[in-house]
Amino acid sequence: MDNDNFIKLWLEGDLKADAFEAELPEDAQELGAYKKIANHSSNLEVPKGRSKEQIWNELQGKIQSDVAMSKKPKLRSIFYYSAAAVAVLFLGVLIFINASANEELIVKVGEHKKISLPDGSEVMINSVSKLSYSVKKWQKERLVQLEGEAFFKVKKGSRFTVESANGKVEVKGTVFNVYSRAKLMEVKCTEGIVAVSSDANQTVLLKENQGVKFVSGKKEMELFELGTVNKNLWLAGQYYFSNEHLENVFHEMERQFAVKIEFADNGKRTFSGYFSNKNLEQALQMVCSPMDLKFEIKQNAQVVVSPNTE
Amino acid sequence: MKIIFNRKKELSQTEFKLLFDEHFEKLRNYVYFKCGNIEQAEDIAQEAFMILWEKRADVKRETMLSYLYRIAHNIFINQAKREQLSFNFQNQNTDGDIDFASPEYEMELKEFDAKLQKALAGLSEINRTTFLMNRIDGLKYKEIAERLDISIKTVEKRMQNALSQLRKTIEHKF
Repeated sequence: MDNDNFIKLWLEGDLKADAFEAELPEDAQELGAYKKIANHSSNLEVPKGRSKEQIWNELQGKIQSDVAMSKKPKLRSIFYYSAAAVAVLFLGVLIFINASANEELIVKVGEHKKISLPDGSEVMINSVSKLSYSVKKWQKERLVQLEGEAFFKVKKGSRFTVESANGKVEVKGTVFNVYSRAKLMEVKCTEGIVAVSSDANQTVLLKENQGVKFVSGKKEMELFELGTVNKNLWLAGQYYFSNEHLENVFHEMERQFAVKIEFADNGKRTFSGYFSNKNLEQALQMVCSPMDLKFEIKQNAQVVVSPNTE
Repeated sequence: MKIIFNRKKELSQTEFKLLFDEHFEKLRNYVYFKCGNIEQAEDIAQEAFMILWEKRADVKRETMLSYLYRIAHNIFINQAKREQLSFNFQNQNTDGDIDFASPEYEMELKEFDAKLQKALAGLSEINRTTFLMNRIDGLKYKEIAERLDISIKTVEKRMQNALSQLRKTIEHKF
């Protein structure tokens, strides 16, 4: 490989630094100097300025004041055209309303995404989840559809509703977490009051630090208090479980690490504990060793978990 | 993170926010690489987003990103004063094991960094910008090409020019 090509590939990160050392071509000195420059450059950091949030807020302010400005009528110049303008505006509004249908956010395996809703409410969406809402109807009702799991910080105001296949949650302004996957739904309220209705037409009110769990179609709803284990630690990348079916624990792991976990189970064993989404091997260790299981990480993101036979 | 948008309609506010969240810092850095002034870089990047928002009806989604970079570049050109450039990069300093770093070694590192920053300021604007987009922001050649609306070959050329010029400047000053 000639020097130019070498530099090119290496800077792109296609060649490992080790390979770089091992294969150092004839003009070693020159490349050594390049390497030093390249390495030092990537250690540089742009100085800190204002925070991104601050800049966003300023930007929002500017956009809004611009809208306000353009609304101030320059009376004389537009007087004769007012009729036409109104017509155009009306048409524009119609088009706008028709154009803005559903907003849909899909978060993939191993990712979390934080978004702001039109009213300023905040949502943190967990991996493999879908959140959608209608921009058009947002002014009339604050309604979002959820498949998966998300943490909500709702601005005070009119009723806010989260709908899912297994049931719905209604609140006014509060902080809560909704999990709705397969047949299982779980809602945890960390501030204020939320109303949870199941698809079997059962409704409970949750107060601060209460949670509820139920299976789609079943009338029983299990109420529980939020201890530390039940706080929404997934926001910090920690996944806590108390008496959770092993199957669900491994499913969560699949979503966080983008792996496929093969595991034969009678569906009866439950797990209490946690794993962190930072490192797959450690996470598997955390779950497998107390359950007397062993695991093997294979190629193509496959993991095989089996009983410890020794 | 891949967000699936409805491509037919105009950019919504949520999408705009997502776009901002994903690209603001890199765009700001891009301008910083040109001007060496963080406040100016922030203002220009902010203005570029503002213009994009105003023109959202006219900009195609496929070209939105390169449009953003082009606006920022144009604003920069319009206000650029031809001053002596100087940079104020911070160094994360992770060159090998810190445990073994002797005071002499640290001295040498500092010296090298000072030289590097000077040499960076001496590069042509396009070479420096491309080089640092790759080095500091970790953008792939393809991603740089997309943003600046140039070919990958051009990016490669700029990277090599930057490297060899940096090396010459640094070694001459030893």
